[in-house]
Amino acid sequence: MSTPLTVSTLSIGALRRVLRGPGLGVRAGTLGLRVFSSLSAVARGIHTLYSDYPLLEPDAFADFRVRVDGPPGPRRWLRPQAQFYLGRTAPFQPLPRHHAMAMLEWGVNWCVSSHLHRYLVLHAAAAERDGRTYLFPGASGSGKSTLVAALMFSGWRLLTDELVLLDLDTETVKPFPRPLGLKNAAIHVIRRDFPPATLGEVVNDTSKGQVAHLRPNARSVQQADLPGHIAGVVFPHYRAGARAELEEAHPADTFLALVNQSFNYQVLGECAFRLLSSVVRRVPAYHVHYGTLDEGHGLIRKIDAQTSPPL
Amino acid sequence: MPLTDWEHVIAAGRESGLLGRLYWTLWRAGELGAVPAAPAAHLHSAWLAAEAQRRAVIREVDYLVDVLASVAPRVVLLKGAAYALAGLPPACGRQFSDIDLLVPRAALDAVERRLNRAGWLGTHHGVYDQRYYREWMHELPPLRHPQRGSTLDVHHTILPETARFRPDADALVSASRSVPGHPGLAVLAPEDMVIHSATHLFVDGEIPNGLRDLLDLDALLRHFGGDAAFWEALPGRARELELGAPLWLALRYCQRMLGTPIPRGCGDGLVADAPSTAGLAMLDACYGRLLVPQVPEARGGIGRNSAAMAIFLRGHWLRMPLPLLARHAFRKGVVVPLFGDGASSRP
Repeated sequence: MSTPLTVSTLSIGALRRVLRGPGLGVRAGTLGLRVFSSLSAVARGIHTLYSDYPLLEPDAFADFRVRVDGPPGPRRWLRPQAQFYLGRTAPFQPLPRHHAMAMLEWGVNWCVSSHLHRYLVLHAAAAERDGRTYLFPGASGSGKSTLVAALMFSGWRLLTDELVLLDLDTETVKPFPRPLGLKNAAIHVIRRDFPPATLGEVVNDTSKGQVAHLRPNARSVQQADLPGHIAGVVFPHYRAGARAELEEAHPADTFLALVNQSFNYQVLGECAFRLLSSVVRRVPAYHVHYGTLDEGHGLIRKIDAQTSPPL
Repeated sequence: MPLTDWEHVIAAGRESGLLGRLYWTLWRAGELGAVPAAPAAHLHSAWLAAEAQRRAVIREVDYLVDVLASVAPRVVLLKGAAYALAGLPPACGRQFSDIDLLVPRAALDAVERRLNRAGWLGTHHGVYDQRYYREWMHELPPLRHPQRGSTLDVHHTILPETARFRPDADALVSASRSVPGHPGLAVLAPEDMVIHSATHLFVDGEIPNGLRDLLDLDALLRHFGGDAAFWEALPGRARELELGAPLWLALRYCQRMLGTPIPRGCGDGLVADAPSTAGLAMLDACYGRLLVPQVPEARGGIGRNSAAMAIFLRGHWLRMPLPLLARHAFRKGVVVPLFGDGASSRP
């Protein structure tokens, strides 16, 4: 099979036309998305952040047909807004127009976390090095996106920064690489430490503060069909000024934490219970406390050195 | 069918909450194998979600019965929860939302207090909304349990107090049937269940889940319809409850749109409830548009939007006398948008 065409083959003008018309079909790992939008911020965002993503073949199936547009009503002339739609369903309140691209990202995450039950969906990041995949579960603000961004720039493969899709039969991670959501100080840190980083437009006034999305590297996007084999679970705990510390986690606590971070544990029931209990029995888990990105990164290297087979 | 068509089927099915139902229908027909893997995964996902909801509804209802045992020894379930607990075919692959209960009007206050104490809290706190529900409607304002996440609609009858048709709620309760294995619970008798489902779909002014509700009716009619006595009793019972008109429409659209087998002559007992020729042409034009799911990206179009408006007005006209309707429309259309809900909460 020939290499599929990528989004980068479309000029910004062509991209805008496709988004307004038949929709832009892109493949993100295992999922096909068809995106519609008449907003130029969305076209610009996709142009920057999705350039390495393969386009869907003309006769391919899209799992989700999503749209970001101005909602109808008189406000469109006073204070332009953006609304996310899956079909006709608008799961969120509209946001200011310039949040449109961030809204697309959040909306796609919502589609996956509320409609996709062929996998156990965990709120976690995942990255791989030499065939060893680590899960980074963590609440908003724990630093997981920033940490996997740093790993990605140091030769790791990014599988996801937000939604881990766990295959129920093989216990592997199905990659779902997407632009990484960076918040507040993390935006500055990533720009400073990794000059090749490509970021989308920075949005200043979201409910989460300042938000910008980081383009995943080409390798992570191109290898998105290779599943990740779980070698460990790492709970990141970033706190400015904290002392770097590595602490082993008990399997039972890890199990409960993973249940709490799953979106569809209740839907999958016993299958999900079996899967998570097998994972926590099989692989080690750690809490990583750190006050700077370098320290966090160093601790992950240390964990990986312990996990990797001796030469 | 090409994959791009499947993409539309999945999107439209998700939109109308029917993917789980479609999975079950294909499975029963032995046709699942013919569905390509990518769309099949979505059908299966929706089926799993529906099954999880069905289990949750059963668990929640069993808990409710315990909570209410001292104040309402017999709780009658309506709609989705009834189908789930009684193990009826419409429950298969169905999306559930609220749990609907029917309790005798005399027990209503005690039931509400008991539910409040168990953690189900009222919604719609404005004075106007409270009066709207308590004086004019047939149910309490929805009760929500913040921890359990369930919402209850507690009814004391099946149509608003102000509606043109006045079904006798006591007759419904006394004809209700116990649910084996769930002491304290009951569901409506087969004829009443069909008549209520028809009333819900063809008297309400809004039909957000039109096709799902029509499929519920179809599944009930096919399930109960094997028994000739059911068909004999159905029209007379509907007339007794003053609900012949919605049943007439339900039978018409089930037969026309879903090919539901309905014995000849069943409509004879309902002749007096049939709409006029002109009225029927209008209803056909409206329901013909509103009962089929819309391709999600398609704009409503003048036809669909005016059909929705016509049915909305008809529903309100059937449910409220004109002066009250005018007042309600003024409140919802003028007062609330201008002054908000709380600012002028005096009714």
